[in-house]
Amino acid sequence: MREMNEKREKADWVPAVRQEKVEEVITAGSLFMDKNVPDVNNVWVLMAKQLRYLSPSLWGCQLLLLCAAIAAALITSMDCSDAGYMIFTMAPVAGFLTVPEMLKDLQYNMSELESVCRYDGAKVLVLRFISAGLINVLCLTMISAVMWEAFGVSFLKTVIYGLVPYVWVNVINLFLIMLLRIRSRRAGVLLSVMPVAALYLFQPENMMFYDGAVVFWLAALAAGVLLGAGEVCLIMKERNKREGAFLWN
Amino acid sequence: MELRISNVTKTYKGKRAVDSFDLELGEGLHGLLGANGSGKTTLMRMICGLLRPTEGVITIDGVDIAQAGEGYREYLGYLPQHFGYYPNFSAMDFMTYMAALKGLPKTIAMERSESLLDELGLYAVRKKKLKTYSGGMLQRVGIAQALLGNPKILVLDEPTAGLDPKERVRFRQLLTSLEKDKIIILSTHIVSDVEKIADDVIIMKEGGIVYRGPQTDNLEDLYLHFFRDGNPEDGMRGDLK
Repeated sequence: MREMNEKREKADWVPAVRQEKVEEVITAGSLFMDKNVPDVNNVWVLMAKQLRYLSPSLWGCQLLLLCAAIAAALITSMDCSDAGYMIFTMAPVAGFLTVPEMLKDLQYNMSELESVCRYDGAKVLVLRFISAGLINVLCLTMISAVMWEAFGVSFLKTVIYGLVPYVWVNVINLFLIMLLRIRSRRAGVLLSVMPVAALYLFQPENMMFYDGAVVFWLAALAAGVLLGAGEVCLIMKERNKREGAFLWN
Repeated sequence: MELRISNVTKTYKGKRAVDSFDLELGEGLHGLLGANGSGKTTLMRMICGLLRPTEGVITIDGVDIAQAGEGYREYLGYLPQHFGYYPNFSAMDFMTYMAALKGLPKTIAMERSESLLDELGLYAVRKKKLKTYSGGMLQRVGIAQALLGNPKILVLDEPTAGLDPKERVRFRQLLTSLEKDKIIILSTHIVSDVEKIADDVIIMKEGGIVYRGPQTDNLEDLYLHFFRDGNPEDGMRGDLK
């Protein structure tokens, strides 16, 4: 037993070392650990962070509209063209905050900091557009489903009646904010109300919500998407240049 | 590691903000002194890749930083002169957001964020929104985010703006405690920020270098010599001795 204990003590015995040597080992270990940090987070983590970036007001708008659509479905009765018009008027409200949210980094002077990160402005902007776009489109789709169920309007038509004003409001917002180089958050939000107001002034005739007008709506959607894509490409190009983005401020 | 700035010029609408600037920076803390408008911030932005030089090139270990792109930004920590923030983020949200942009994995991001906020005296308020923070607290958040990715190149542009004297001392202590294998560039117009801690001092005026040399006891006199009215050409270049 005594021998066993002696053997065990010898095995556990750690020779005394100089203090400098201990520090050297700790430094080497620390450097080793730093180099062996697991590789970067994946795109889903970044996407989740972009969802956090979006302010509660954007979420709030979507929820409000969904509640309004459900309330309308439960307490009113209207024909197809009225339902179509209702979607047309609700959709811009879902989207008018999208562009100010996308360009929040320029307005809060964050683009300089974000541009020196590994995932820089251009990549992050794409993720933001996808995040905000998904939220908006999901909301519109839910509203369209409610309208379809409640008023018998075909699902495709309700989606188009929602998407067309949504896309055009964003196209006009993006154009105005980039053209005027709006630096203030409040001014950006106020300016984004203008296309919504213009759309309400437009007041499409009821006949536009009948079957024959589907081609017009599809053409308007295609034109809006193309223009929007062009604007986004220009912004991405500017972000890739980097100085064009942060020199706004 | 060596950061080399080779004959760099930056011109804005005919005005030269940085003029034929040549500098090599190895590991250590480099104090960049200069008055407002001397070109420090423009130079810092070029080092961070935010601005492209009109002429010349900036390289890191021989590689042009414009070509290195993401690979260079991985090494970089930056605190800009005018530090922006998202007001509805808490300090912890902000740190983890920046960590995600820097590509840090989540667990490491959380640990480093907490550790840095603690070191900078912000741990107790880490869950409060940034819009409730004072200027000095915001500046400390800015310093914390610059250190997040354990950068090898740390660029700090006027980092002590808004800090009270006690916080400045703490900040200097933090800088001196950083590992020696970093290139730290501290740009400021306040001599005491770099006194006693900088390994070398570079004085800029009108977009160019008027002095580069080691830390010296009469740094303030030297600095004022270049910025009093009269004869800038009388300024000493190179080693004081």
